[in-house]
Amino acid sequence: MSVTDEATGPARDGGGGDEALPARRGHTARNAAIVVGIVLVALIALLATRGTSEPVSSKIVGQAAPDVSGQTLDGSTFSLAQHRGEWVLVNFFATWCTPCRVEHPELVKFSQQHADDPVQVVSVAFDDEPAAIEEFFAQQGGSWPVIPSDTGRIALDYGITGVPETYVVAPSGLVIGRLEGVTAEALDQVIDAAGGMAAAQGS
Amino acid sequence: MPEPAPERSALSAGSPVRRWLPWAALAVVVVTCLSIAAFGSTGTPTPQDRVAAIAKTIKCPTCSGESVAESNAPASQEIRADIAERVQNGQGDGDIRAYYAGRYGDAILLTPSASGVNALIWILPVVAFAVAVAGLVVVFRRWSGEAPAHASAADRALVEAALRREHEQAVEADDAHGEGSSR
Amino acid sequence: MNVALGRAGVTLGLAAAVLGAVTVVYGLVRKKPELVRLSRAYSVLVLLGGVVAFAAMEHALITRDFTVRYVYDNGSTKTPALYNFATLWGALEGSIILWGTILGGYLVAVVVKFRKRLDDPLVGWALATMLVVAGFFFFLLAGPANPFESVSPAPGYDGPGPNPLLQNHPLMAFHPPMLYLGYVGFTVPFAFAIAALVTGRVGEGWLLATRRWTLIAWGFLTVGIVLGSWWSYEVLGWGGYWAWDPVENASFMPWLTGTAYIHSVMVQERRGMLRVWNLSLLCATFALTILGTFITRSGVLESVHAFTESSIGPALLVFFSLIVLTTVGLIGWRGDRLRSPGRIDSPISREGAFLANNVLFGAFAFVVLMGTIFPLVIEAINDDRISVGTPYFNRMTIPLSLTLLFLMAVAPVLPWRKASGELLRHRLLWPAWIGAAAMVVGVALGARGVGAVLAFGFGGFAAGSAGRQIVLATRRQGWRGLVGRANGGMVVHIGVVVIAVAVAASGSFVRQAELTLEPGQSASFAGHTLTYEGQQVRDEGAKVVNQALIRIDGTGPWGPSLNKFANGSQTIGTPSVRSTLTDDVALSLIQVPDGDRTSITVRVTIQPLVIWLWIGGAVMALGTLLAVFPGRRRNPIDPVSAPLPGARAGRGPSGREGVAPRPGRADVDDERDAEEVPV
Repeated sequence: MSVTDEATGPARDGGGGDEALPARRGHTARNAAIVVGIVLVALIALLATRGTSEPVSSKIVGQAAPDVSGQTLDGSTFSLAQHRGEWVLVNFFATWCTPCRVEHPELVKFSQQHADDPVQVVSVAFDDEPAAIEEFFAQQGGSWPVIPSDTGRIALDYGITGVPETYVVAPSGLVIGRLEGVTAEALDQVIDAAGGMAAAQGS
Repeated sequence: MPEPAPERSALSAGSPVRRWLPWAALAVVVVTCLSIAAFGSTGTPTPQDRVAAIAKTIKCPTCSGESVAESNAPASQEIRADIAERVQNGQGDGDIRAYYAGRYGDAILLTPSASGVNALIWILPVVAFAVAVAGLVVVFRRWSGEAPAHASAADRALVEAALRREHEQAVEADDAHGEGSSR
Repeated sequence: MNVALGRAGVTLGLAAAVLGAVTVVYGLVRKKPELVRLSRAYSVLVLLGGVVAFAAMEHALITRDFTVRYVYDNGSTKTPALYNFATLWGALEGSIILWGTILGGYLVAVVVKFRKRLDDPLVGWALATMLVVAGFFFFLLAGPANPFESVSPAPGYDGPGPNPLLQNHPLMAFHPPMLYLGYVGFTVPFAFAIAALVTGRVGEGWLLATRRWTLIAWGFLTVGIVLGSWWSYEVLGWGGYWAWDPVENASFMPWLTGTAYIHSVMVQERRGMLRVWNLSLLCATFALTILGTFITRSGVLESVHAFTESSIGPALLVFFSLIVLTTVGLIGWRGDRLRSPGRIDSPISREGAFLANNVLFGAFAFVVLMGTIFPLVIEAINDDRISVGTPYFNRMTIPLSLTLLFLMAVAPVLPWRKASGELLRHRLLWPAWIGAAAMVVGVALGARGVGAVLAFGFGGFAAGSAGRQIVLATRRQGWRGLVGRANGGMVVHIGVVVIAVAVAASGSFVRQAELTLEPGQSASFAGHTLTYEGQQVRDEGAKVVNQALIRIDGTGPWGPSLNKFANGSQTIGTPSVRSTLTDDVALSLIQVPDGDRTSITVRVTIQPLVIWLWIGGAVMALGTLLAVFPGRRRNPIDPVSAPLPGARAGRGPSGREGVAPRPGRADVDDERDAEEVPV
């Protein structure tokens, strides 16, 4: 900003001559002010057009989905590999996160709408307590597998930057979409855009 | 010199050898220290040191503006553990960083790369600094080329008059400042 | 009731500021001194409005009046008294109340100080500028950031309390007010700079008038920054104190330009040069405080310290643009006519050193600014996301800092105008040996790495020269050799050296590890033995504290903890630090026993000399106080440029105005001349 552009200023300010040499006085300050002014206006324009920071975009979209496996809350095991050929929604959430509470009914709605389709939802809890998760699902509904906490490894593999985040894994095993906070409608759109339920085997 | 400062006479005493001897000794001490500092061994870095060093260059993905070395967020703990594992498996620092950049994008790295537009962040400050220094050099050159103006007796009279005026103003101003006054 | 009172205060402040600014400017333009003098009444009313709003909010907080929006959002019956009081500045809207109130205080202080010159156009324009700034902040309180909205809570409602991080350490009660006293304090010299530009009186008058104000603001900002890093060290628990976070940078940038100013202003006082440059520095400093507030409050950049995003971002940006366009416009329009004649005889002189200082501080501020906003620039250019963090800042600023330390060693002994090699050789010998001794000690104690050892050496060198100046001054003037700007400044320098050495040592020789310990188990790390004794769980109302008791080398026990706050969400760790004069052992708890697992995991960070950062900060504050303390009063008829006929050479400080030097005297420039000596 002003700092560098003016950094040469002290020298010039002093060097501009004196009363006896009006010609040498020049327009240093004016020219410097114009340059600084332009830079600053650009900076202001930049700041004005920036919204609030969005989270870091994911590199994982378009790549093979990292494995999601582990013991679920009800004691069985879940592995993403078993669901190759189906659409899988990998949902990262936490019970302490308000947007997660907001999106949860949408996930419930989505899973009910597609109860007969080859779609699997799996939730991965982030920094959470099993008891709180059970209570959360009991209150809010939803009957899909939930992998409780101490599975930070999965979050790492997916490169999640916060909760909630939902990854759409295609029947081919590629991640085709990433949503921060979902609606049933948005999920349908993502899946339809990539071939819809027909893309899954067995339908 | 109408009234040489005592210091000056002390300065002039002694031969060049005596004058420079303390500085030569000083140079020897400094050079010795710096070479020990530069080449002395600190011991090979332990894996833990390496983990810490790498962690400092990776941004915590779930927090705002902290490195994984700083943050105690679960994701950071996980990444620290993961880095430790990779260090143990013999991966190089660069490989580990590249792995995270592949997962999370370049924004996970706290050191911007020096390629493309990103290089500006390294170049601009250096250029600005160089321009400022060059400007100073040019100005000093110009100044040293100018003959210094000499004050004539008339000038001094003017200055004296101005000083008296200033004095009166200053006294008034002091009153106004409320710093105590001579009246 | 609190809502009504608070709104009344805000409205009063806003009305007084706006009316005051309009009246004073009208009076100045129409040359009606009786109108200009009304600034006194308006300023008092602004302060009154601020105090009423402040008191209303504190009353609402203390009585837990949840019908006030701010208390509803940030208050809680469970918050302990001190943190409850400090909640006023714990979130955005409240911090603006503090800002407005402090600004009102500065306004009244200026009015009192200049009470006999209120109709002087210079003072008038300055007060008008301050009233405009005050008007803006009260406008924020009245509209975009209104903390006094009324809400009707459900019966039995209890608020969430302030952000858990902010109720974890008592320093939170002191750090923000100090910082704001600094930020807001820079409004005063800025206002006088604007007044000088408007009236065209850029001579020394306004500058002498505001010199002390600038120093005070700078001192508060320094203390605020040091307390802030102390707070992060004690609370965030990662063993560090400075993370080059956007919010930290936002407070650091005005500090850098302010520091450049308090040095270069001396060239103007002595030689009458750099007038326009100094004005620009003051304007930049103030603009940077507003930019920093924007960065902190608008959510454009991520930060640990950022308040939640809010609607005041656009307002702050508009205000920032206004300041920038006004000052740049004024400087462009007036600057060339206001520039002063004069030249600097030699780069090896006090003035030359100040110029170098300005270039270095300017570059430093530029680096910090670049690192802070560059991600935004890149995103705008190619929609790419990058992060700029500690590694970048360290690599760029360490060379600058080392150069500054070296300059700090040489500059204080330089005479004005010109120095000869012989003189330097004489004056610098002992300081240089002190620096060399510091290097030897460092290396002997096992320090390796050129950067750190150079920092010790230059640090010792700089401390040596500062000490030399202080010793010479006290020898001549007794206790008065410690007060006044030049001498107090040397004390500040010593504080800076202490901090620089502490930063170099703690940054270069930090050791960190994560240890997992069973109850009763001990582990050794970097020469310290840690013993885990047991766990303690306490319910403190506002939080549940899960503490591990750990002995460090047999002392203690120390109790790092994980706290779960009543308002849910995640756990927040509170580290525990054992500080000694030589090193700090910081423990932060990562895992507590859970289920079958009885072990804890604790992160231990061992850093040498950390405590000296805070000691250095205290020394800087002390030095600023000494510098502010009226030193010797210069007799106004002292020869300040050419000697009066009959006056003896070398008695008085020379060359305040831009009068040409007398050849031949330059390199013997009596050392007493370097300080402000009584005549």
